[in-house]
Amino acid sequence: MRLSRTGREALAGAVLSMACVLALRSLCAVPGETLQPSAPVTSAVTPAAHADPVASYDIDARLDTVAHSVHATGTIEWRNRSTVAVREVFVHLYLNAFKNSQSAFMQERRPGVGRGTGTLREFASMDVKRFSARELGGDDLWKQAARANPELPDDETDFRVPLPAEVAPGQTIHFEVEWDSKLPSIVERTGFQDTFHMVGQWFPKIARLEDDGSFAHFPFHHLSEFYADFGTYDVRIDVPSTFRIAAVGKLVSEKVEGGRRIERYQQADIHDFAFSAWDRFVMRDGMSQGVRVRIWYPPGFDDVAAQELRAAELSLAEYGSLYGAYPYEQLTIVHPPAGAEEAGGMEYPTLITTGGPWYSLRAIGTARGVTIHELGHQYFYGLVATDEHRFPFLDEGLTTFAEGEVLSAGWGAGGLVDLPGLRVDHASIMRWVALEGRNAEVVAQPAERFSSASSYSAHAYMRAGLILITLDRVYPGTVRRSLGTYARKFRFRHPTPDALVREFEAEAGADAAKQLKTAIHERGWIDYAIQSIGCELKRAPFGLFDSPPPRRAVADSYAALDGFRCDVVVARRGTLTLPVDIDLVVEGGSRTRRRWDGVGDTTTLRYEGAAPVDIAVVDPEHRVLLDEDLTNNAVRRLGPARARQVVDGVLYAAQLALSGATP
Amino acid sequence: MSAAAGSPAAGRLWPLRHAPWILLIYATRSIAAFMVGSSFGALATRAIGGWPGGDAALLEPGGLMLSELVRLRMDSLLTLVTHAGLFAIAMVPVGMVTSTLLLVSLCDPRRVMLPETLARCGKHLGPTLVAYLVMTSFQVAIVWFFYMLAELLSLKLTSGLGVRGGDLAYGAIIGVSLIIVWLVSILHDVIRVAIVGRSLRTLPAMAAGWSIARRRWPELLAALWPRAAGAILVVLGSLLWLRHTGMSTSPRLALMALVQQVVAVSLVVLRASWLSRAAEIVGAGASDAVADEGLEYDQG
Ligand SMILES: [Zn+2]
Repeated sequence: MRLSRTGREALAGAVLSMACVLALRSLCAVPGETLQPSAPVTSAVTPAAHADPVASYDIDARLDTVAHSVHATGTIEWRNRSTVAVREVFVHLYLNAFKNSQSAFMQERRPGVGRGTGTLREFASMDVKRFSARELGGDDLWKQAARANPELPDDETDFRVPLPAEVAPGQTIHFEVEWDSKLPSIVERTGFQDTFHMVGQWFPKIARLEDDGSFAHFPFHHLSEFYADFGTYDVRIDVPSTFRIAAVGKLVSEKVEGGRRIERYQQADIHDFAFSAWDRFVMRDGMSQGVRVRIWYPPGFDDVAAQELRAAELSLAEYGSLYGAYPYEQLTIVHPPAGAEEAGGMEYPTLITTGGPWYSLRAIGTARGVTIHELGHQYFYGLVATDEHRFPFLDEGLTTFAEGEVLSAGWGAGGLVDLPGLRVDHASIMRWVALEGRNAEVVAQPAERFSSASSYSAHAYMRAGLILITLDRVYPGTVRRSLGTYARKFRFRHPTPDALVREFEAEAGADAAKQLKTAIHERGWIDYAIQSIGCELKRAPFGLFDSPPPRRAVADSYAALDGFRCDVVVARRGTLTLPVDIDLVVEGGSRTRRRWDGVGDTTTLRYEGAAPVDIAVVDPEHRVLLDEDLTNNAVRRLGPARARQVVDGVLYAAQLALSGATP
Repeated sequence: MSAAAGSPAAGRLWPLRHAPWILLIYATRSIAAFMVGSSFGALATRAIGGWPGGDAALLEPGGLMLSELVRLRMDSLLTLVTHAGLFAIAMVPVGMVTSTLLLVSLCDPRRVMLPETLARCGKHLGPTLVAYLVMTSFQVAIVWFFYMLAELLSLKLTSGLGVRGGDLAYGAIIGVSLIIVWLVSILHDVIRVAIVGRSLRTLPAMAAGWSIARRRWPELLAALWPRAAGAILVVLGSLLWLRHTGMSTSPRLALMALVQQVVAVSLVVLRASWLSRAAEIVGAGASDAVADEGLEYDQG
């Protein structure tokens, strides 16, 4: 049979189309996720197995999914862990941050800038019905409770509760508590959206008691997170039977009766509790390092959920080798539905929330990035448990650095973007965001001092991470090792920045530690540049010479001796002093590496050799990622090289565009 | 009716007499593209031309220098991108002239001398421009209409089909609009061939084009299919090659540039081949259209 011309053309079209599909598939093929575990951080320190339980909560909570409220009763077992007797306790009612427009949280929001600035369609409230101490007479103490911050008279997130009698050091008492929490429409970290409920910051929480008997209490600021003592949580959650629950801790029992689902969660060695309930949750799970990982996500989000599950499984191994093994039996991940994105990107002990659309691409690493970041918090916020209010960078900055470590180990240079011809890693993005913050604020300052959410993110997260990665590259491996020791040694111990600096000093020395302190406390910055590069032929000496006498005049013979003499001037601007390499590339391509300790404003490198220096590059291996401007780090003596690949690439792209756009 | 239509030689691409016009289209596009490329190149030269390897640093895995260039030169880059967009619009009339010159050559079985080609091109340019404006506006309207439709339905789609189903349905609506736009662009080509091949004014050409497209759509689609797929394939091929070999060294760079120019020429040749085949189909379609509908074609 002979095909008509149309038939032949159609056949050719079909064959070529198939070839197109194959070409496209091979073009878009993304290399598989294979974790190349970096050398584990061997530390002489073994992390503590358990925390010192100070505040333990035993709660029965019933969620009304129509009124979006929780009615709860419970007992808080609390021990005076300080060295002095106390006559008061401070209690946080964080949910009241969303009670009205006058709370510190709402007042501090900068319209349109950052998280938690959306419209609050429904306000929240937290009403304590009873707060009595079994050992102190059993009277309701809440009648005497007063707002703890006179300078913020309208804020109801921080209460001082006077006690009728002293609680001696080491004495344990039991508070019997009953309260109602009305959830807000989804706002930052907590709230409801249709039938989806993210129940966070929902119970009266006793502020952490420091060694000296003072309470670390504070109003819920817009940019601040939390701080609390460790304890054991035993929580029974009661929801309609059609709902599924994702909660902090280990599920120890579940039953469905009378149209209600009641699940009981227990967990020791944690300092917060949150849960999510939804009647549309889908769940999948996996195992890694002996940890059961469960992800709860909306219908249709299977692919992005699989990405997150895989990221969590890979990073449990890597984090474990860096900062000590994850000590809990389970990790729960909640991927909130569309519209409830503000509930995503948050960490609670053993539970993290993520986010991203169902079509999140593997080539764009945002889904895994968020998962790895929030999981990283388990080792700093969760286990080391620093004061997130006073030193947010100790959590966010360290976690941002750690996130980069895991992304590099698992996904290499394509950690965040892995497209054909374009691979972008975490360090590049971190550097971009950090430098866009313009070093405007001190990194190691309390959360509420930051001027806006974007500045908070640029400094407490990204600049802190950038400082750490810079020091880790300049003093190779020292941050990595000292963080490994810090995370193990201070597990369950609530350290301050000094502890971090001390561990770093032990690894990298006093000079390096001084740079770290300048960078985090004094807005330290740095910019290396090649100032100039000049060469001339070496010539015989000429001029007036007295030795040996008598004085004689030697004329310039203009005769060249062997080779060239070049001077390269390198400059350092800024308040940080970091040792740096300088490469001198000689005509012909050979390289000489010089080292400058960075002390002083400039240094002049003298080079003598058979050929002149063509190119001078300061920090050729990009160790100083804090360097404010990398375009001035390299200079060519004879002028810049023409950007041929850019011309070619744009020319080709423009030709293709014009093929499509012009008739 | 023009002498060309339906004659066996019409639509043959390969006679070398079309080559100058194909090269002209390639050359004008390349010059324009070079001007755009050079301005981006000047910016990159200034920013990172000091680094060993020059702008190869921009392609290094991790994207550090690329992100640095974009971060520090964002304003200039946005200006250049805006200029490039405006420049592409300015290239539309140029492209219209060069492609009409090619069409004049394609639609005539004889070798047409330069003065005559220019004269005919001048004559057809007006109707071609009007047809371009009409068809392009039509395409924009289609996309706008479907976009509004998708927006209007998006809440209903999401509540009925779930987030994923709703998004997919939204995408399908936009996809349908793009397919229609593509079909309209085929019709547009047929109309342009009718204008040049049969010396028609815009309206009669549109009527003729519509009539032919309706009757002979299987032939038209079959003719376009391999050529369009071929065009996509050569572009994908060049990208695949780039991905697997990388650039950065001079000989490779030169080879890559050569491959890219071969692709650019191929795109013009494939388009010429399609227009030539369209001219054949339009020629063949003229007789049945006249017979069936008694349309008057020779008003041009
Ligand atoms: Zn974080």
